[in-house]
Amino acid sequence: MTRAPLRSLLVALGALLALPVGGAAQDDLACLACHNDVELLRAQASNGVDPIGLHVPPGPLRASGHGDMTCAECHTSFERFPHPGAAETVTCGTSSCHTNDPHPDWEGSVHARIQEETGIAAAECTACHGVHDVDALDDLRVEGGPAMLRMNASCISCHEAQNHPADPHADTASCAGCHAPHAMREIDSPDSWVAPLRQAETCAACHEAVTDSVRHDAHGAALQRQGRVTPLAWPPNPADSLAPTCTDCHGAHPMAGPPPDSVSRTASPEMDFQMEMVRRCAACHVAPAESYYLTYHGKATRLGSGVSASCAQCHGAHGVFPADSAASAIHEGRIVETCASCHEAARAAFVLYDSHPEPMNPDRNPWLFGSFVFMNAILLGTLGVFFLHTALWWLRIWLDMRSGRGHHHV
Amino acid sequence: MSEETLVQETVVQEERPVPMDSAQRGDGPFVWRFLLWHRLAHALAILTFYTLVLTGLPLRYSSAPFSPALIDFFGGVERAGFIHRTAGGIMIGYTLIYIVYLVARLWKNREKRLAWLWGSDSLVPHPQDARDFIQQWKYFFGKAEPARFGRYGYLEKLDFLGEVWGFVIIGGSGVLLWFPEFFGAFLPGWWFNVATVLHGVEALLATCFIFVVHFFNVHVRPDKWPMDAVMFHGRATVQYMEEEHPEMMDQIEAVIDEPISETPIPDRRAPAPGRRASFIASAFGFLALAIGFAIIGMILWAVTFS
Repeated sequence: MTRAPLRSLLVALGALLALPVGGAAQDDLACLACHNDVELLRAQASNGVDPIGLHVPPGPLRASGHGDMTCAECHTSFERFPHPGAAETVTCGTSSCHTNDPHPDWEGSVHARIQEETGIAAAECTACHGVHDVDALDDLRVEGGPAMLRMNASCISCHEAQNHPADPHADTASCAGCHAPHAMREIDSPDSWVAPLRQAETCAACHEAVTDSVRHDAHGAALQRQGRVTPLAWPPNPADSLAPTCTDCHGAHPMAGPPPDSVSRTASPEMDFQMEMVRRCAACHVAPAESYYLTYHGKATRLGSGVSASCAQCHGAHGVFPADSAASAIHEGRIVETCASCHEAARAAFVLYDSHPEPMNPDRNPWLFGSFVFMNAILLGTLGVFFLHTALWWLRIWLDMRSGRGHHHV
Repeated sequence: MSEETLVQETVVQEERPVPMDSAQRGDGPFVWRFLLWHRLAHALAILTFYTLVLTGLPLRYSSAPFSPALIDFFGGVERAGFIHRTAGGIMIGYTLIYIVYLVARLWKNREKRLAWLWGSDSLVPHPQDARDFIQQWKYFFGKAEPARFGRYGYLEKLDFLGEVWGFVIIGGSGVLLWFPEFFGAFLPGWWFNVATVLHGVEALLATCFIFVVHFFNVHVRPDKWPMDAVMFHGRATVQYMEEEHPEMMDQIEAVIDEPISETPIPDRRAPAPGRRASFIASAFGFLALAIGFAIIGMILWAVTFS
């Protein structure tokens, strides 16, 4: 211990001597003389200061987006030694690179509001970008790259509920890609990139072709008309007739797949996806789903066929239009073609099949209604008479046997 | 129950050679009731019918809790569908063979035709069946003696006619749904909607009728239960025939004095079924009964569930 102050003094003197000589690397050498020496820091740190926190090995900084910068470029108030003992005063905005600090987009964000209201540092620059291991913007933009995954991990470190490693987006898309790099908003804010009316454009950044077909279809047009701001609660109330956005059908955290508590019933993830989509359509389209499940298509799908027609096979997945619209896949001008995508031999007669039958509705198809009533009358009549026959016979023999009457052999 | 009746019952139980088979009741000589082809046809009917019910039921009640497990047992929907259509094809096949046989047998021979239609062995409903039916209901309320059935009582005729009706309705709609593209070329598509209803409701009727009414009449009547294996080994005692088919037994009374015929010839004296034949017949019967009742349980479960 006695030798330590002497040693530190010598180092400090060396540092002071080195400073005026200039040159980035030389600057850093002076700083690193102390800050790359854990033993020294341990001996010299003021009371209450974590010496490990002061330890700055040069490797991460050199490998980072700030690799060609010197310590003093950010640490502007640390030119003299000993350093001011007070709080760190680094501001990213003082450099010539980031002229605005805080970032103007961040200022209106939910993070900024939380920081202001609670005093808790919520996602300010270094919380997300790191301190000495800042990633370059170009690296952050590499889909699925290490920089992007590191950034996602820093988001998840607070937003743990949104961590879904098996999600198809987990290692391909950045959080900021959907939620805006700095301007994250409240969940019900119309300015959020994932607000109902803005969501299509956000998803379109990657899924342009799909989004294009959904912009003006029945769902997209209704969404614009309704001008919904708040997200849809799931499961939705069918009576509200609220048009869905991308995530209402596809989910977000995680993306829609098989329900997590159910065992996969089909041969492939694509089929699981189809089945989950049927469940989602059915959440709003209750009556059509019920009639669909009366058909072989519906029953086989429910039991995991994966081949049997589900909603999207006939109605389209995106670009869904009402049947009387010429753009609809089930419009009379296109339905033969639609059916023929599975049933190759489909002709005009074939498509008179009712994919959403209502056997109890005489107006929809009197023949179907008639056969439904007739068959059930036979069923109930026959079983009624002969169940009674059976029960009475059973009772008669039992009574006779008990009283020893009759000629029953047992 | 008094002590006396208990003793009585025990004695009766011991008298039976195989107490689990009501076709072997009493000590009497045996007669041949069903020939080999009857029994094979019945066994084939059981195998195909059970296969059709077990593969069709999960589709009819697709939201029932047991349906996914049943479908998985058959290897998925597509495979279950293949098995269902195969069993249906076999059923249609043997029914057509039977129809061809019947037509060939009766076509040219007027006497045989009349016997098949109006003879005492006929499976066709006669006015007597209506009278028996009414008498049976009176008997249930203690107002008449039980009806005296011939070779086939109205319940057996009903089983047979049910198969004819079922063949037309279920078989016809099944074939229609099997080849939608073929039939859809000239039939309007809503026929498939009608066929779906016909197929499902008639199949439910057939299943409930066989597994409740047929099972009760044949196997689990209090004086027959737990098993009547006559259809499995083909033989029944004279006592059984006198009690179950008295009208017929009156006509073949003389058979009791004849020598035993080892080969199955209708209404000849038969050797008593051996232990092995009895065991196999009863085991097959019990398995069929158990599965049938389980299916009724599943239907009740599905109906209550939905």
